[in-house]
Amino acid sequence: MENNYQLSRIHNYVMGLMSKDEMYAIEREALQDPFLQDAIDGYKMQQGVDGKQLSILQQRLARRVATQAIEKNSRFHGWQRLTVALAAAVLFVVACSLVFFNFITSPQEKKTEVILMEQQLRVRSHALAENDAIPEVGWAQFNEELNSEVRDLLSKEDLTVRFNIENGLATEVDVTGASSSEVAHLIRDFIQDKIKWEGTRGEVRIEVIAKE
Amino acid sequence: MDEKELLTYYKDTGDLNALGKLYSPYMSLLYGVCYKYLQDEAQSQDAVMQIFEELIVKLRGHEVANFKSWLYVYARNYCLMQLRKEKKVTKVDIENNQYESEWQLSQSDDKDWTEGDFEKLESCLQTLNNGQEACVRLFYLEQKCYKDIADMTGFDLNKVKSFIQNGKRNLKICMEKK
Repeated sequence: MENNYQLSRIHNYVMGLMSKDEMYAIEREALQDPFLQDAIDGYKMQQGVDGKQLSILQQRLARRVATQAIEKNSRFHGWQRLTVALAAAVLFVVACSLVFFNFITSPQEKKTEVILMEQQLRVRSHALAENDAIPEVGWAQFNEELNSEVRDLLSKEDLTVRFNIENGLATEVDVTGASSSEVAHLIRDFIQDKIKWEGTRGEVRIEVIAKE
Repeated sequence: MDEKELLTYYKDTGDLNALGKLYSPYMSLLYGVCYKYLQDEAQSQDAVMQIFEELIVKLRGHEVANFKSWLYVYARNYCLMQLRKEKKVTKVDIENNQYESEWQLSQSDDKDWTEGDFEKLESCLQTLNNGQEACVRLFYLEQKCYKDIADMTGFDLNKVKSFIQNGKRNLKICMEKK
């Protein structure tokens, strides 16, 4: 209220609408109050008070004050989020340090690698009449490798393998006498892909003892 | 709540409502002050809002004894800073800058006058230059308004105002010396 009163006085003063006594009073007041004096000077430059501008200003202020409530809310969410983030960060750090300490301490324990060997040699190979083939690794090693190849095989086998040798590799591998085509396959793949051969022609009888 | 209570309340709580209540009565005066320095409507409006933004921070940390005079000084400095930023040269009367700092002092000045004081006043009035003496006499002793003084002396209004402001200050200095 005081504000409006002051404003209308300024307006009347600036626009020359005051009596001499009123003018004197406001001039006297302004001499004591540089705030009022500067405002009067400003409005004089603007040539009067524009109520519209001032009500726009009041609205802007009201809007600004109202935003605090919204800001408060968003700050609240912000805190919530921050808390969750903080918890996640703590968990992350804990997890990382667990892994890290494990990693640091584990070299002190001895790593033991266990390779399971077939305990019993179940394979026997015999070179037949037309055979001049010799595995590069030798027959003993050949038997051992074949032994581990057939570790999953339970049945007893007695089969004959015939093949030609080209550039150290077995070709046209023919398996007869296998108990199933899977076994024939297994043996053919082994002869063909895993063993290097010397000689020209292979004819081998392979016996596999049944697994108990 | 009065001004002082609003100030303390805002300082404690940061409640913008309180600050708004405190600030709103001064907006029209502030606009006038800003217009005086910035001489642009939009810029002055923005300045009034920007000053409010700065108060949001400032008043939470500062103890302010006299809000009105503090606000005036703050606003004026803000406008002057704006001008400096824009490197726009504006003339700012030196007496206005002095007299604002005297303002506070002059408010506690209501002592009783003795016969000697009136004599002092008379002799001090004679030390002022002609323009100042005439204007101060007409204003303070005969209670004429600026316009009348301008008509009677032939000085223009701004001249009258500055004669009175300067005359008043010189008078005060003279009175305190004697």
